[in-house]
Amino acid sequence: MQLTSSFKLVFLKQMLRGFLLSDASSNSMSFHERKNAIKLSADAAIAFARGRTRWSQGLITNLSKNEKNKEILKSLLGREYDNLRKPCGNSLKIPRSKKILRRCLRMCSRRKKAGRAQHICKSILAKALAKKRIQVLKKLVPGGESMDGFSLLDETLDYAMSLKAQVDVMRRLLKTSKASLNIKQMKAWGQGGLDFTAGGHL
Amino acid sequence: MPAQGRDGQNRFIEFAIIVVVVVMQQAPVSDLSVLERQRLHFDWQQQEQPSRHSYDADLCVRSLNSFTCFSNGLPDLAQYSMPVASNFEEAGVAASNCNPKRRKAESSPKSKQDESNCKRGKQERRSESRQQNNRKEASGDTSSYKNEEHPKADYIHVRARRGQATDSHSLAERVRRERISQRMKYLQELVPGCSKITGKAGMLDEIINYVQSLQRQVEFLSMKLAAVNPLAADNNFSNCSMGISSEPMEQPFLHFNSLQAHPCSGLDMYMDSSSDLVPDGSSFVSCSALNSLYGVEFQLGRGTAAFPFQSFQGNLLPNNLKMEI
Repeated sequence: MQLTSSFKLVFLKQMLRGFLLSDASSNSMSFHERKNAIKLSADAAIAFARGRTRWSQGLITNLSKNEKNKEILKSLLGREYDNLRKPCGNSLKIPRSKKILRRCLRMCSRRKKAGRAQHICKSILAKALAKKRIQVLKKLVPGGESMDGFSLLDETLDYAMSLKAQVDVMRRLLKTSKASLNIKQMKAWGQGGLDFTAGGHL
Repeated sequence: MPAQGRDGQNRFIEFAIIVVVVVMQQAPVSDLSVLERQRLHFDWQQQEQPSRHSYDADLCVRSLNSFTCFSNGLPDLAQYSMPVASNFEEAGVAASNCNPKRRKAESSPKSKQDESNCKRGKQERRSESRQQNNRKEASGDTSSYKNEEHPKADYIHVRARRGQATDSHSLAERVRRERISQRMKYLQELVPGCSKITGKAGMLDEIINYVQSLQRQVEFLSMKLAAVNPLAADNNFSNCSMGISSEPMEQPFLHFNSLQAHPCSGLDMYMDSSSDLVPDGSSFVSCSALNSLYGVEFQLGRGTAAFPFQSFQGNLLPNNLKMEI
């Protein structure tokens, strides 16, 4: 639904702008610096393209923690930078669902004493497993710590789709640049005005 | 009124029925039929069986609510609302142990939707919260009454199913569980190969793996771009025209700044999502070299079919290669 061409284009455009701004294409950087700059541009671009969601705000916040990146982000995102800089200050975990869960667990343990041990044990075990995984998911999704169960799943969905689009566009960009590299090589060989009109599809 | 006894109540009910018939001709049928049906049903129940469990409690509260809004809507019946309300009060007292908990469930700030209670009473035995949204449209008539009554109500009104606990905790739990399962379904559609897996933990596992793998792919691709980049830096981004053929879009062009004003090749490439690049001479590449260009045009289109390509202003290089991937 959101993986439209326009979304991908916006992302690509922003990413290339980011490459420009962070000077990723120059030879002056080391490999790792270049890679980090590219990744920064890609992340900022996807957050920009997506608009204002919890994960995009969390992403920008995480990226801005590094001072060096701040300037780049500011110029890249422009107006959007302030919007995306996590205005929602609910870094407190929402305790509501936890309270209910705890009460339920308490009641479950009470019922367990009444003798329905096995059934309740399983549910408690399942809940513990799910809880562990939710914690892992919270670390994965940017800005995920301050979300509760429902919104976390929503944001995960959104984030996964955007990641998919990001991977798609970056892969194509890679293809393109590889191809251009090859063309350059071919040009270097065939210098002197040869016309490469080789036929055939790929 | 309580001192009237059964006879009095019977007579009153007959009167109420007559009143209903009269009023039904004056008001929208659907409203009255629901509310009146509820009320009469409740009265009948009161006579037959003094107390049942959750059903009664719910119905009692629902009827109270509906009846008050009914009476607000039709003032000529207001005078008659009092005695009938007293019946409700008795019933309320009778099932009082359920009521406070019900009220507590209602008042627990569950969340984000206004629901119309009146219509819901009609459909007691169906599942509750998931059909809220559907019924919201259907209950447009009664919702107006409801909104006057509870303009600030922000609760999800959950109906306890027959034979299940009316505990506020379990109700809230059930709502929560249903929401989670709904979202799990969406995620199942998203994550490839997940349709066979049931159960929350397994699904969460898959989701975690998927997100992790996507993140790793981004890292890997950025690394590869960094490797490719400096070598192709001059001609890489200076003029790219890429067709992204995911969907046909009406947005034809996009301009962005070129990386370097370099007298070198730009590319017209039309990329197909499925194909892989085979970098050899058996391909067309169109490069138009630009000296100081700041315009690049994107064109969207399907990669496979015949493509109109863009040639830019000023071909400086003699080589014109067209590439079609």
